[in-house]
Amino acid sequence: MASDANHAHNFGHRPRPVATDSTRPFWTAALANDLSLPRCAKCDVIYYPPPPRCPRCLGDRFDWISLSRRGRIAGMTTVHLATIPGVEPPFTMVEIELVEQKGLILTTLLTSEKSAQASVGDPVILEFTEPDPRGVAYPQARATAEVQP
Amino acid sequence: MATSRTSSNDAVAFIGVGSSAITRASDRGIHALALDAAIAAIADAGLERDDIDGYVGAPGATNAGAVHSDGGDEITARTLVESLGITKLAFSVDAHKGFATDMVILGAQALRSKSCKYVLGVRALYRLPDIAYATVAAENAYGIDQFRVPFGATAAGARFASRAQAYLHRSGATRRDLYNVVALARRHARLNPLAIWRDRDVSLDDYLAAPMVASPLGRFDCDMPVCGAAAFVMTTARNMPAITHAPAYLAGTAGWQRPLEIFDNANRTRADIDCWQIYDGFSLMIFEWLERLGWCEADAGWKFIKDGHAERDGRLPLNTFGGSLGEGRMHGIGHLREAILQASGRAGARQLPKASNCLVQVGTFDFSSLLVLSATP
Repeated sequence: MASDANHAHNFGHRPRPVATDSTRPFWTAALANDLSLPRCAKCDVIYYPPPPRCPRCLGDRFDWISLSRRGRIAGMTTVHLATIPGVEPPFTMVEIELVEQKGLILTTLLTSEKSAQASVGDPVILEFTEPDPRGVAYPQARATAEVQP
Repeated sequence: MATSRTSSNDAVAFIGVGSSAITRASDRGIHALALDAAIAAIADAGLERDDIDGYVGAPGATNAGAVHSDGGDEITARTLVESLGITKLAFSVDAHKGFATDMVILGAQALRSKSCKYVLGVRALYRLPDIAYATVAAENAYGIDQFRVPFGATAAGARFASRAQAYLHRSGATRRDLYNVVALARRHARLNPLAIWRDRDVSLDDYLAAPMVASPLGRFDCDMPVCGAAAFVMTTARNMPAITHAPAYLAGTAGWQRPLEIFDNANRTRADIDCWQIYDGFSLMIFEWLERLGWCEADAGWKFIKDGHAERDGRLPLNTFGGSLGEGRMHGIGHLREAILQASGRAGARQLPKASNCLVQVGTFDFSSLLVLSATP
């Protein structure tokens, strides 16, 4: 990637998620700081991102459930290029494995001041930003004080 | 592709290759570069353009800031075929976001089904001026992107960098091991006159001092965006033209969900593979595919490189043209070109003493295809 081609237009705010019926419950719950994800009514598997159908049984009946918002860092990177309009680099992108289900990964930004010191395996809690002027609350992760077992 | 052997007349052969110059910026547009490569490949195959009756492309520009403009940062079949003056096409397809290896698979299927006799394949890349190469310049995020773009997952290799950090964490490898991949690419690029890094070795100090892009990946862990094109011509043994050089044959193909089938599909064993062109858009990818195809245990790919097994005189010479990290971001067509040249004994100063069977893998951990190219069908 070219870091020297990193000027040019920038809309100044984060790309706005445009929901469909498959994803709208997530963004609606986000406004109440609630992490809500679809669980297949037949397979009991939780998915993120919310899929149109369960990839296992291909059914389209989901129960939207509230999660604890707790998880651990499964992967992370600190990005030094301005790749997200409205987000100043450097920022840290994390892949969070949520405690409710092995392999249930949510990709978001880590917001703690000491995010550069965070490490794979560290516990985090997900929160949602205050709604921006366009009415979107984005998930973000914060390192928690929980000591690793 | 079926595991049974096809009749010798149906053996698919690469009979021509061509490349444009590869540069970091170019005042000549992608259209001109694609024509350079196509014309060279047709001539190398000993054909006239009127012989070409099939075309495969994979035009997608894959950087986050791409504008997807035909003749801007992409070149479509429609535009290229018309400007080549080709008028007798029986088959043409653009594999949108496919890889060079997918172009080959499509072309081989068209040949075997007798849709056409001579397939031209062209892949061109272009770094446009006046755009933010790695920034998603979009007001809205639709579809799956609504969960990726606002979090930076689709740009600057972030999702690969995140995997790389997890890999280093669990394997004990460090950035010095990523450096070993970059240094290997630069060494091999010395022998490739097209490579943008052909005369630019990188020291460990230079590597560590280079700006970070997405930790743990620094500037030299990422292939450099370039302007360039490469092309190939395929046919079947039945329609082999009078060429003065040896062809390379397509021995077999596989997809990423069942990659180990590449050996059976090619009727070769792992021990038969003489060299490997592995996609290296980011340095870590080398480790992942070495492990996935069973040359190393899980999380041990970095030792394979460190111990010298991927050198020209090693057990499995790797990316003998310098890879994308040495040649520039040709998105896998460079890997294919090198395998064609090695398997047909035409790699010049880079020619390996033994290159009868070359494995090519292009793509990511979650979307990829593989080929074996051989000196014999």
